[in-house]
Amino acid sequence: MVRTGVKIGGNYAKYYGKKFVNPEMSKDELNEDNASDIYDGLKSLKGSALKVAQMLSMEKNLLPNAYVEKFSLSQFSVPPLSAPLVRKTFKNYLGKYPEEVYDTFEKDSINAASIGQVHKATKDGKDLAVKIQYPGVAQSISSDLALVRPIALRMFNIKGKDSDKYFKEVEDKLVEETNYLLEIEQSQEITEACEKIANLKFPQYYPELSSEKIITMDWMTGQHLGEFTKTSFSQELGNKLGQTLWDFYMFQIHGLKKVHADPHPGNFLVNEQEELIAIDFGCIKEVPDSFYIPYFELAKKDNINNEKIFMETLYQLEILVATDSPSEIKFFKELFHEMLSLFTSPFHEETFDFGNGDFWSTIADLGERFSSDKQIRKMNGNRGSKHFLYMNRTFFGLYNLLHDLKAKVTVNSFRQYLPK
Amino acid sequence: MAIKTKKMTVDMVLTKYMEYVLEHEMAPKSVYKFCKVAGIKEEDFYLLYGSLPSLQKGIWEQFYGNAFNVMQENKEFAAFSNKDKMLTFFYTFFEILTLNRSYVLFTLDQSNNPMKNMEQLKGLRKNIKHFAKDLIEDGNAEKNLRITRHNPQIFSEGAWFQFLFILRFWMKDDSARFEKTDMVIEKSVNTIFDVFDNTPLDNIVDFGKFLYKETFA
Repeated sequence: MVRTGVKIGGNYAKYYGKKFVNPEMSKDELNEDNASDIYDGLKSLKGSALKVAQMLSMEKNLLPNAYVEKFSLSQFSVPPLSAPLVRKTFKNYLGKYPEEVYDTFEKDSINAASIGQVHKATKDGKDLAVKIQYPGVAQSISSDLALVRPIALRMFNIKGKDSDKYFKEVEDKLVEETNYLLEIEQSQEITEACEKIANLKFPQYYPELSSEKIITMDWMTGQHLGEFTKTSFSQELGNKLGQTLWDFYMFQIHGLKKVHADPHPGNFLVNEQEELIAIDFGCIKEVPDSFYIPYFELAKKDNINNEKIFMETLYQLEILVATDSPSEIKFFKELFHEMLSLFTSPFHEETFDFGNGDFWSTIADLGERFSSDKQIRKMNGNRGSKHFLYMNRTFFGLYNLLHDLKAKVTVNSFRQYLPK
Repeated sequence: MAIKTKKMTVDMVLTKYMEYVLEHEMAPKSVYKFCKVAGIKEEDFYLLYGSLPSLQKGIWEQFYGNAFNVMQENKEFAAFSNKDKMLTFFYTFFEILTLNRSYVLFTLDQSNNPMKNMEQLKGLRKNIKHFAKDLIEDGNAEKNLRITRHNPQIFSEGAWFQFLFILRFWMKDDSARFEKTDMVIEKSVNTIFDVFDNTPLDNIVDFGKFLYKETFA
């Protein structure tokens, strides 16, 4: 990774060099150079580093566009496992070859997931999807993370020893994601709990045909949400799917206190009956009360504008710490007031229109301003409870999906599913 | 013979030999000693092998034979691409070695002298080279141009060196289920096939012929 570090420096040198000659050279060009170097460094790493790249690419409004373009590529560039290795993995983990387990098994994978690949199979007249994990992924997580760490530190301006808690959180979650037995358990649990949500479907999971590295589930037919949103769909349908998605997430957060923290368009399908299908439960974030209570206190408009409560909450969420200087307190109080008011604004209304461009351009402006604000650059970005990482990822992912669906949602409709 | 003894099969003798080596933590010094401990008649031993070193070689050839049979049991094997056949061979072979890991490590570590190891692996080398040669010749049959064909002699030797490389890695591998060895197999075979897959060369030669014909002929 030394290579990337040196090259990023080099790109800046190039940028300023070119700028002398040609003041027109845009910052975009620089960002793009940086992004491709980072990407080149990352693409040689399979598995967990790829997952981190995917995570970074989620926050498309907080990262310069060029980063997003390159990091999105990373989601498609994993070489598939050879057919013999797939067979070997079956023999190792299920004790049988695929043709002994299923009636038919397609030896070439249909698509790649970041830490595995999906094959189509049939058994007893049912179409099945079989997810197989790359061998060695679980063991390489720590070393892969050590490689992306310097990049992440630079990109998010994180300083100080305390940053360990964030990396630990990411590492723990990634390790969890490689545990397919846990994934099946979580999938079944959430599937059962969310059954009553209207218009929402899940595949059935088959634990007897699964193991640490293999998951067998129903093959679901439908269009990936990412593709669906590119088609011309009616406002009504967008609202309907958006409402389902919103209810699904709010029910998990408020009802189950654990949430599918990977709202990526690839993890959802839309079927012909215009129902939403959720297909991947690798990453589940438990929301502890120590985070849930202060966080959702702020979701109430009165609290966020009540100076005393707001300040208390910032301390509870570890955004402010006892050692902060008065100028730091002032600066971060204002910054987070602006940011949290914006991010929690959907909760302040009866209905919220995610298709509304204003909400998004305000977020984009904010992101742009933060990334070019010299004062923030100098401040330590290492703030906030570790739970923010996956909660922010969840909300960003969810808001993005709802935006793509141009959905207008009824904010409190999910309450009908909560236990009375 | 008055007393009818159970006929010794190759398998049984090899199993007894491997047991002997592991139990005594040394190779038997003579056929006599081995046969006595193993309860085999010396004359029966000689029906199968002429000496202990030739038995040692036989073990490796037996490993190969087992791997080959297992591969043939998979009905799809014949339809596999050359690359998948090569991968299947390595995976299967190292699965079999893993089943006999204690013996293999012992016998290869024992004679720390690589030349002596080579002596033991002679028969296996012939088998692997033969297997690779068949694949290369199959591959060549599909190639139209002589220049893009692979020399079976050279390339099968390459397959053997690749095997030795993986074997060394496997001997030192301490990952669970030897998954790192699997990754070495996957990556090394993929790389070698990428390097020697000369479709671009086919195309360049084809294009060159076209240009030559169009401009000079």
